[in-house]
Parts: sequence; C-alpha cells; structure tokens
Amino acid sequence: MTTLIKVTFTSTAGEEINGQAHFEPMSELVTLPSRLLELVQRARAAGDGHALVAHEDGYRYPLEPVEVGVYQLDRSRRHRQTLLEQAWKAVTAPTKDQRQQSGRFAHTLSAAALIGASVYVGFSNVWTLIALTDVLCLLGVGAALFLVGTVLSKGD
Amino acid sequence: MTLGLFALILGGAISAFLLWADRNGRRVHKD
Repeated sequence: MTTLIKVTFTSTAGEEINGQAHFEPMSELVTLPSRLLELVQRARAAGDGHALVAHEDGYRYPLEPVEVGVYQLDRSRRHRQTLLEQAWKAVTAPTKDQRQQSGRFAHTLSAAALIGASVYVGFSNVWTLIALTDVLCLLGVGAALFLVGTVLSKGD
Repeated sequence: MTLGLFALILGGAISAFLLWADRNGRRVHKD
C-alpha cells in the first residue's frame, strides 16, 4: 500500500520547501512529486548543496537517492529536534502561524503600554518633565508595537 | 532609569527582533 509522507527540501541558497511524496512502507522507497524533483534538479544545475528529509512520528529521516526521483528512507540516521532546537527555530525562523502568534504578542504588549500610559496619566498628580516623557515614551512604544503586530499578522 | 526610557528600550528591542524574525521566517519558509 502506498501512503504519503511529508518531505522537506533544503538548499544552501536558503530555501526550505515542504511537500508530500509517495511512500512505500514495505520497501521504504520515497517517490518525489515533480515539484520537489524540479527543485532538486535546479539546485544540482546551480551547484547549490541540498538535502532531502522525510518526517515520520516527529523524526527526520535523510533520503538517499536510488534513482531519479526515487529515494530510500535511511532509518539508521533518524534525527529528532530537541525542545531547545524547536524553540530556537520557532523564535528565529517562525512559520506563518508562529508569526501570527508573535503579532498577537506584540498587540498585547502594545495594549499594556497604552494602559500603562493611561494609568500613569490618571495617577500622576505632579506633571514634571520626566512624567511627561514617561507617558510619551509609553504611547510611542504602544504605537510602534501595534504597527509591528499588524505587520506580523499579515498572514502570508 | 525612568519608566519611559525602560519601556522605550525594551519595546524597541522587542519590535526590532520581531521584525527581523518575521523577515527571516518568510525567507526560510517558502511553502
């Protein structure tokens, strides 16, 4: 029975493309779809280093070429990202969903800054230059974080 | 350090980092 397996193509050009490929569980052969095969051929033609890995149960398996478009799953070199690796990747190279969550975080901080400025105005009895600067800084930070949140929530 | 200056530095650093991470994430994940 043929099933589908998630495959990730990465290259030294900085690309990371995900796709689904046909997988034969008995022979453990992965047949790439034409879209991923084109990427491999383009990377080879350009002289870029590239790698293909398959994902199964949270593990990453390197794919070894058998023939054109057909790869063998290498179970001896399976690798799973540790929690710290996943957290680092989520922070430095977030996916679309993670970027949107970061946008919500920025909007929350923006609201906190605006509420902080309002409370400051409400409870400040003496208006010194420092108090005025504090309120203006909080308002500025609130506006800046709101704009950053809208950029991150773009969704594409 | 006043509250405003602290908020400005922290908010600015968070904003700059989030924008950099956003750009890096869009570059890395093209799917």
